[in-house]
Amino acid sequence: MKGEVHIRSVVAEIMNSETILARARQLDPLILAGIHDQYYPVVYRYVRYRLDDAQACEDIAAEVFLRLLDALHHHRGPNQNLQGWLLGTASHLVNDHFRSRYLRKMNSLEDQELISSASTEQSVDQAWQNREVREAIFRLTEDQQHVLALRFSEDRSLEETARLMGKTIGAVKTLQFRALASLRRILEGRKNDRRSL
Amino acid sequence: MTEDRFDLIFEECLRQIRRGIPLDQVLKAYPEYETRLRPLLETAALAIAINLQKTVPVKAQAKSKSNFLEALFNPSHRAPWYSPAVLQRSARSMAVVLIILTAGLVCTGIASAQALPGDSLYPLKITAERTRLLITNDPVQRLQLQNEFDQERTDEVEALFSRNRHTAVAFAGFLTRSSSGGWLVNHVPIILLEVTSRKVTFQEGDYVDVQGMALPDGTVMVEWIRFRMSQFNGRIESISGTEWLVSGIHIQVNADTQLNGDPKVGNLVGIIAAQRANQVLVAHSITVKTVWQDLWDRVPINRNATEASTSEPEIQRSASTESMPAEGDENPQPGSTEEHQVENTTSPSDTPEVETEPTRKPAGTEESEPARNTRTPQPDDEHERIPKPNPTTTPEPGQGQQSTSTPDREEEHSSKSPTPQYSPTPFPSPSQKPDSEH
Repeated sequence: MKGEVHIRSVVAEIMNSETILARARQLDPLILAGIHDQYYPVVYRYVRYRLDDAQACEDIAAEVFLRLLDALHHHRGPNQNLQGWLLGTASHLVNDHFRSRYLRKMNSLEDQELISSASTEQSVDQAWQNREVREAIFRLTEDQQHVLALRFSEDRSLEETARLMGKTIGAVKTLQFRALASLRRILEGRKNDRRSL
Repeated sequence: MTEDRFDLIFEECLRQIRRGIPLDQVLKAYPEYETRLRPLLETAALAIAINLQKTVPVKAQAKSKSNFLEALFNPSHRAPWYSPAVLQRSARSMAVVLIILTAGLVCTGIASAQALPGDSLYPLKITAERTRLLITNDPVQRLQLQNEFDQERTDEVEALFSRNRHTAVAFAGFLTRSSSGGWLVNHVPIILLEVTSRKVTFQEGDYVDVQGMALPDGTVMVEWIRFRMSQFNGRIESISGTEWLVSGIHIQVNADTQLNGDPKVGNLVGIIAAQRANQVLVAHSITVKTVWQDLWDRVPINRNATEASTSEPEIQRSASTESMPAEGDENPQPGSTEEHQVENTTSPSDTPEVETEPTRKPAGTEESEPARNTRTPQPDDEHERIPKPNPTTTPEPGQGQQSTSTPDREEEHSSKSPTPQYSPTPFPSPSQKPDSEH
């Protein structure tokens, strides 16, 4: 496990190196295909952590890489931190998705999905609880959501998270504690609401 | 230091929870931090628990990669916004947005239609009504609309009473007497303070605009009250005695009506008229207009200005009929009168600038239109004003002193006309001075 994490960080370092990014900016197909191979799973797991809708996760993960191409075509995009850029873009897209979902008020339909998907993998109770947690996370600030997803979608260390977010370790620690405290408040609030009903 | 230690312990606990070690067991090692750690770790455990699916669907990854590379080699491959697929996808969201927008507009419209004075949507309602009036070109329709809106104002006041809300209101209607002798405007009881009524002489059947405060007892305390004058331009369709038909509207013309120009059938005229109780418009003035003047009057931006200047005639008033008591009339306050407030004057042909007390002698034609507008003294003018006229004094350019003093008198006369020479006031009248000189 530890070795795997180590290799990944080394690869990330190589991928983030100036030369890789410079060649990506020249739209080198080999480099770009490598970037997709390397980061698709990371992005997918990040999105999957925040969304329970598998189809939406696939769409968003694919969209993240198309956005990268768009940015490179327009001479924008990441300067140093490629993985941070990809995950940041994924975070925005997830938020957009949540917002549009709330706009559509498709909740009743999702309950159906939830129950049908739950019967295979997990108990309905567990599915309910996970959904509560996801919706509570959605109520956090974007940074707080991002820090929880970075830390818990994969076993990332504080240092790695700080690097991906472009923040100091201290800032990430504070952000993470605040996120957990807010999340707890929201979950307790919802529990009390249910009890009072 | 302890904070750093706490952070390290927290990270260690997280690692153990990720490995699946139960929380209680994790916390056992750090009893001194348990109270702080437990809530954080419990929540963190929930946040970790939602991370169920760690496998990445290979098919999805392959599809994404092929799309990605296709978009790389063919940048335009990415469907433009007008492509059928994108349109189909966005059609639903566009429909939703349209529905929300329409619903919002309709709801705001409906909500504002029910708004009452003091509500936040009320100004919207008033603006909407004004806009409808502005864009209605046909005078008949405009009068009908105006009547509808006036009725709406009164309904609002009654709604406010029924909800026991007291707020500033403005409405309009015919002035009537209640059985107890109080005044009603469109059946709404109003209270006229002495201050309000001092310069006002209204009578039953007048169509008035009222602004005031709706009180809890179901009355409106009036801040100001004024005659409603309808103003419009139209073409004279027929003239039969006192009954004129102008652009489909019946107008009554009486001896008090000012006829400017020589209105004949077919002429374009501007009409200022008062509404009477029997739904008849009584003309105050009928002015022949050129096409250009008519167009100019129709420029919306100019309309208020036109109204302001033409609303002055509404302060003319005949005192021959029974009128509302005007308590303050024996103490006129020249210059302090509002434009629209009304003086009781004896002469129906007085011009609006001359707001004097009722005892004043009729001024005749001395302040006719040209006399007011041109400051050059005219012999006729002098005749009227100076009992012993000396026709040579005014127009002679050689008599410098006289000719310069005359415009001064003129100036004094027009600006201080409320202190007239014929009034029984102790002040010497301005016209007495030249008189004594002669």
